[in-house]
Amino acid sequence: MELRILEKSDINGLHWGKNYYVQTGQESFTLVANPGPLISDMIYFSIDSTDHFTIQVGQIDRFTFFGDPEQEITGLFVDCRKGSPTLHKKVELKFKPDPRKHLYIERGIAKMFTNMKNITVRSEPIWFSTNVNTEYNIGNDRLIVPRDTELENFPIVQINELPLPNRALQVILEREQQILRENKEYQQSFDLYMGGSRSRVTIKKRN
Amino acid sequence: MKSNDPIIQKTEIEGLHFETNLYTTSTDNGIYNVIASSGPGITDLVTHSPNFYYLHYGIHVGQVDRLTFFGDLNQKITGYFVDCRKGSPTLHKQVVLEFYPDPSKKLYIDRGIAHTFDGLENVLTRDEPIWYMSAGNKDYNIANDVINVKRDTPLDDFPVVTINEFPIPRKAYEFVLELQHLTMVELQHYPTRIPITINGEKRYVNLKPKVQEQR
Repeated sequence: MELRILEKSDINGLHWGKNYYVQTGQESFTLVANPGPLISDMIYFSIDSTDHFTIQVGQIDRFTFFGDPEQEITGLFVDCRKGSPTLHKKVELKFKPDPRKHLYIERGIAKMFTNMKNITVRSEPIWFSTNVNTEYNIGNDRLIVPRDTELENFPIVQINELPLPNRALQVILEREQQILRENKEYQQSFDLYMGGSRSRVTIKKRN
Repeated sequence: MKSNDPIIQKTEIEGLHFETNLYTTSTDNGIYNVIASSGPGITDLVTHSPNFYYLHYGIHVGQVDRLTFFGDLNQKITGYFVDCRKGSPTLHKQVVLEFYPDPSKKLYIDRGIAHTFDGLENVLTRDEPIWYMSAGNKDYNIANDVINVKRDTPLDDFPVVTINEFPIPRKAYEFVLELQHLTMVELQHYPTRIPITINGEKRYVNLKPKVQEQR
């Protein structure tokens, strides 16, 4: 897959990439999907921020931000990849919505955004599976870290290594569509230390 | 390939309605996560500048539009629709809809229904089109499937079009997207395609702004 990097950051695997678009008039754009699995999720924020970081070990995020071109968003990132030369390095990016570019976030980089009210995000994930990663749960790849966590206390995660074929992603999407048609809830996971050993706990909303 | 999600609001034109989106919300309902709708799974996004305004209605002969509107939840959008489908019981009926950006629903506009909007300034629209083909349909132009009609046209003077009938496989969408990746240029003026009558026969002309040739 062609990489069209516009701007790098101090964490390898965290950068801005160029979108495929046409400008159809002053400040008006039409975008088509970027190359890849052709999955586009839309995330709309009616609140300013979440109160936590999120880490995904089997998913690359590609986020395009839409909204008031003068609204400054802050993105906070912490590298949590096992073996990374920048393990537990924190990067802060300040930027404004721009349909021409997307933020590429590798697996295992914790992310959180603030000042997101009325912002819409196009998410074009790329998913990976694993033969070795026992921490991965294909049904719930979302590890939550509270926003006030000290850097050295962020988890260290093993990321997945096997790109999933597009057909597998289509099957997963069809399963997601079926779940939502039946009004079921997604789950969330977090790490819990009990008696010195780490356990991954999965929670879901009560019915 | 299932292509319809449940209808939540009908209108007086069959084929023009709101459908539910497939989404989850955070526990405080502050964040909507909207996944792709049922159907081919192609997503195009269109942004609209602070002074955006449509001069024309647009009619697709081979494309169903499924539009989700994202933006300020209090910004009123007005949609104007005219049924232009040959043989439709509501031919040339006009419907006007007022609504607001809402991630939980999408507007389904069938082929052959002219549509235009007011109030899209700063609004983002997600389109999840469904494409259809036909053999020998003179109203269809595969290179430009938009027929433009001026906004002040009397209802009786709107065109009557034959819509395409055969849904295409997903592989064809992927092929078209690959072509778009190869041919996209950053600044593009879409041509205006208008119906005219020559010697009593309906024809279409494509109008494009003149571009000065490089010497």
